[in-house]
Amino acid sequence: MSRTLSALEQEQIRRKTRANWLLSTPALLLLLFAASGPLIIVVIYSFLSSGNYGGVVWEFSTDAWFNVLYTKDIFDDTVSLSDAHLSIFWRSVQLSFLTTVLCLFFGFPTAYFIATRPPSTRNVWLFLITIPFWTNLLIRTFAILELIRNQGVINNSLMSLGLIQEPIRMLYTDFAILVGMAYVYLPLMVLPIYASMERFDFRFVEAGYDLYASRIKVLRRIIIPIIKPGIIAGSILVFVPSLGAYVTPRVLGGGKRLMVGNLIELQFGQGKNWPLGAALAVTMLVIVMVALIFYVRLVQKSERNHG
Amino acid sequence: MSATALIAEIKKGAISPVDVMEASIARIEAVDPAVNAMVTHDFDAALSAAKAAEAKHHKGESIGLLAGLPVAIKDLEATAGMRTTYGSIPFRDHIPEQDDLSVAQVKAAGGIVIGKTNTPEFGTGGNTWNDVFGVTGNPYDPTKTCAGSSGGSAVALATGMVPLASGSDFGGSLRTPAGFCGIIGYRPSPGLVPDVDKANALAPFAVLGPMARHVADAVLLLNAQMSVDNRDPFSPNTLRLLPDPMKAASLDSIKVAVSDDLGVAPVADEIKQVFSSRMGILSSAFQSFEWQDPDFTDVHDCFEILRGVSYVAGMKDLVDQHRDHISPLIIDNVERALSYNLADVAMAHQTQSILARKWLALFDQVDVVICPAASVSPFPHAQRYIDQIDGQVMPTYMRWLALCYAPTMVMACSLVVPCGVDDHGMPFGIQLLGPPGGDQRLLEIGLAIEAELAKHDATKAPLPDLAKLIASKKS
Amino acid sequence: MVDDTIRIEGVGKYFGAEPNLVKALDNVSVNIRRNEFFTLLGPSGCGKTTLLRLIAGFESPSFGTILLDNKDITTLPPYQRSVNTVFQSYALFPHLTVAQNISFGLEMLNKPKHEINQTVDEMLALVHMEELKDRRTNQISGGQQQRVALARALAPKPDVLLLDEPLSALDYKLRRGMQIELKRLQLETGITFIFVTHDQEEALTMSDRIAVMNEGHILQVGSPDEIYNDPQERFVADFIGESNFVEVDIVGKASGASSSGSIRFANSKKSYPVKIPANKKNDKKALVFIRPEHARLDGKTRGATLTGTLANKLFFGTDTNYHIDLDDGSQFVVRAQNTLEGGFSPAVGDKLGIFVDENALKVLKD
Repeated sequence: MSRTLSALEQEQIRRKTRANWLLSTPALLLLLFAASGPLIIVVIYSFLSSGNYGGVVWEFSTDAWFNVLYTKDIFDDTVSLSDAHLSIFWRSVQLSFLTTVLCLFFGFPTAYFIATRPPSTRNVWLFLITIPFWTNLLIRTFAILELIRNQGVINNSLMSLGLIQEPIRMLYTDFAILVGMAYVYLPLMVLPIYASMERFDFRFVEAGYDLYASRIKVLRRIIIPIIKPGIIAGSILVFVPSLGAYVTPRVLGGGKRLMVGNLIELQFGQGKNWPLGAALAVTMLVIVMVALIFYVRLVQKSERNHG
Repeated sequence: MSATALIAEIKKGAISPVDVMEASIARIEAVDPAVNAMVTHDFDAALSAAKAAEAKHHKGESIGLLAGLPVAIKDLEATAGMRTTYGSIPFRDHIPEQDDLSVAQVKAAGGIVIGKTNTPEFGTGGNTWNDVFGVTGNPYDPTKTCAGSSGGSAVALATGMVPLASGSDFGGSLRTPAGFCGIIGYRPSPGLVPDVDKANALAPFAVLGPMARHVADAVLLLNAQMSVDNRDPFSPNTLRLLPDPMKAASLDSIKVAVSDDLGVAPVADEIKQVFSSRMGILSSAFQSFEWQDPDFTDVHDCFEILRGVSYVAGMKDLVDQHRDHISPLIIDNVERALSYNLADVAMAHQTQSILARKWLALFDQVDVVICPAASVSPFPHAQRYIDQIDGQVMPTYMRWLALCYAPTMVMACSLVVPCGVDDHGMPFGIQLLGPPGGDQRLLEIGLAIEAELAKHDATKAPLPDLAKLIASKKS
Repeated sequence: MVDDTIRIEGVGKYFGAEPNLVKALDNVSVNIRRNEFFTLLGPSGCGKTTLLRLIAGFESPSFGTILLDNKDITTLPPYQRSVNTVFQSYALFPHLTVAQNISFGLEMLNKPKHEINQTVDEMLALVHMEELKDRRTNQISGGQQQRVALARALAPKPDVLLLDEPLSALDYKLRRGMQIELKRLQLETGITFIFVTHDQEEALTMSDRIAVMNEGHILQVGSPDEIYNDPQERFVADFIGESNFVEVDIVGKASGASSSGSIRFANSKKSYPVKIPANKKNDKKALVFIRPEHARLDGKTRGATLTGTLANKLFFGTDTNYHIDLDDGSQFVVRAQNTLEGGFSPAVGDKLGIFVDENALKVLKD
């Protein structure tokens, strides 16, 4: 079937290509400057020396990178692995992962519920889902705090019902951070899954039932594989900002359970050590990318297995 | 009734300074046995001063800013002709011949000193107790402390003995008692109320300031206390009185940073919870409302060392002379301070400079920083100080006051406003922090926040149950 | 005794509630025999798809019973019924290949691996899709998708195969090909097919029996021949093939149980002996229906059953349709086979006689 293209056809293709490039130029420029620019600045900062009152001194230094992983004892100059930083990174990855799982656990049924409503009421549900976005993050976090604190709504109700004698300690635990982050990021899971689900043809479900698949099997073998792009997108949208979250872990963790976001915020926000903050930020970026590659690989593998 | 309202009534002629003084004396006689706040008083002199003020008013002469109102003075400030003990056995019978400048100012403004309020020895410690007068109880639960060192003044205000009282503050002495007793305490910028007798006058940490039940009253007393005096190097060249009446700021133009522990202070979880919950109620009133822990890195060492310097400067001679009669706490303070070396002091000054500059820079972004007034709920006064918070051991007896002394180190002005009660039903206060010199703005914001807090049941200023308090003493 | 696979007994399906109650199916009873190609025919909204979905189990009936092999399956979920469906949209799983689609049902039934592979190969061969077995279903044509859908539904060897207008998305030629293929598959597999369509031609060519449905009711069940030639009601006659309806007078009626009687056309003296349906016995007027191909045109009007003027001629290749304006103003269509000799060829405007044999006249129930 191969044949050579006529001169006219070639010209048409050239024109089309040129038009495509022209049209995408603004987006490309924006990406180049708005996305790569700051990133490059952050990378450069991570190799500079720290100024006394925040900021950087334009002197090359790898101290920041050294400090990401190692600490030097002030008194005897012994070098050891920075347990504090490593455990904060590890805790952040753990909590972000659990947040993602929690969001998936609650987000999937929510998205399913909305997608199976009549089209006229779907927008109302979506609107309700996005309402928290309109409120200041800190205020939303305080709302969670109000629920789970010792004299909060949950503990007070349980105690007045006589189910517990002492308040259950929920605030200032990892559980509190988890609940807070899941609440804050839940819409980011629901919306992409809903987008997939909305395009999902529910006749596939009937076809599955028809072919002897029970409810659970229909969910596992048909619905989930087909809306997987939404699940992947939602997971990424939740995992990435969870890793960088700082207000929620700060307020609900009581300042004792730091995450990477807090650590970075400390370096920049309080103007302690910008290069270290930059190096930590770049480290976090690398962790995010590795985690994403790992995740996508895993998903692809499961796809091959299940076929 | 607030001091400002009383003054208005007096000026109208509706009530007389004598009425106010009599009511004040009656209240002291009824309540003080239960709390032991007003340790020295001279009712006869106060009453005749009130009568003199009344006569002056009838003649149409000016009776001053304070219009003959009774004012309680902390027992660290010398009052001419009235016993001033500093809470210290060696000064048990000390009757100064001269007023301290701040007291003279109050008297000049028409205030009548009704008595002296209890304080720990030389104001040392966050629990009002001394060997001269014993302990001062919290009006909400006399078995608990009213904090210190301006504890007597705070209790006198909370129980309505006086409408105005003086206090002083180094690491929270004006603010912690205000927080524990549910009243207003204001730590002004250094120099605003000149302190002419400080041994190390160049350290900007120890200040005098007003205490009251309402922000407007605190402004009133502060105006009376303020003066210009070149013996205090921080005193401004010209006297700039605050506007009276002061106009409240509009909250929707205010940018707020909140922090439950200023990033460094040990704070009990239950206090953090109450604080965050109250801030949630308040949050929507502001233009912007963000969480921000100001930078107070290494503030603890900085504070210990620089406070040590002040202690050595002010107390060393005294300790050397009266070692046997002085609280071991003070001796310990002086001796520990003497163990620091010059490098330590230099480092502390350096740290303080960095933190103070960052503190100033913070107010390019926000108008006010809000944090809790105290790190714990009022505790039994038998416990001298807080040695651990939620299982975390406090390395020094001052550490639990870090919420207050951290701002001291950056010369912040600070207003404590009552904000409901905590989980134990004890008063809960919040601290509004501003930059040095930002007194007027901070007080304007304080007026607005005080009004906002009054709107909600959970955040309005508490009142002690006086009947129960009086009964508790009798039984 | 006739061997029934499916028995529908007094089944109804209502949607919504008063006052917006929709009676999609109203008290329907029908028996479907083993191994037959049974068609549900009717216009859209007649309830045929609802009936199919009730049999499949996607909906449950408001009342009535459905039996499969004498077993009550009314309340069983779809995955517990040995019934498979070929969907109108095919509903092939987009994330699976052709072969994976076909094996899906077998896997759900937990068949052994080798049996699954063997059946999938058989099915691929049956629908001639061996070459494309590893393609994704969105990479094959509509006709191929159709065949995969068939193979997928046949693979678990169900007792009954339901087909919901499976050919409607195909173009004409492909549709003809698939009609033949479907019939072949039904014969080869020996499975009962229940086929839903609104296309009467499809129904007539493929079915063993047809049920004509309208407004939630089954109007008539019978072989294609019975349905075409002996419709009981005007709707059936009108829906299937082309029909002429003429109002006539009932002039003679036999008494008692006999159904014989006679009718007479307006402006005509001639009476025709016909069967009169029981419900028309006491009526004076009735409607007769005449297939266009059962009438004959002639230039002479004497002795004609009806007379009129030729209004239009439509050439169809094998036939020509003559549209005639009858004298009373109504329309009548006569279809004549075209012959090479040409034969009788009237012109528009000619006055013509229409001749109908008495056995081509059917008096309708209503």
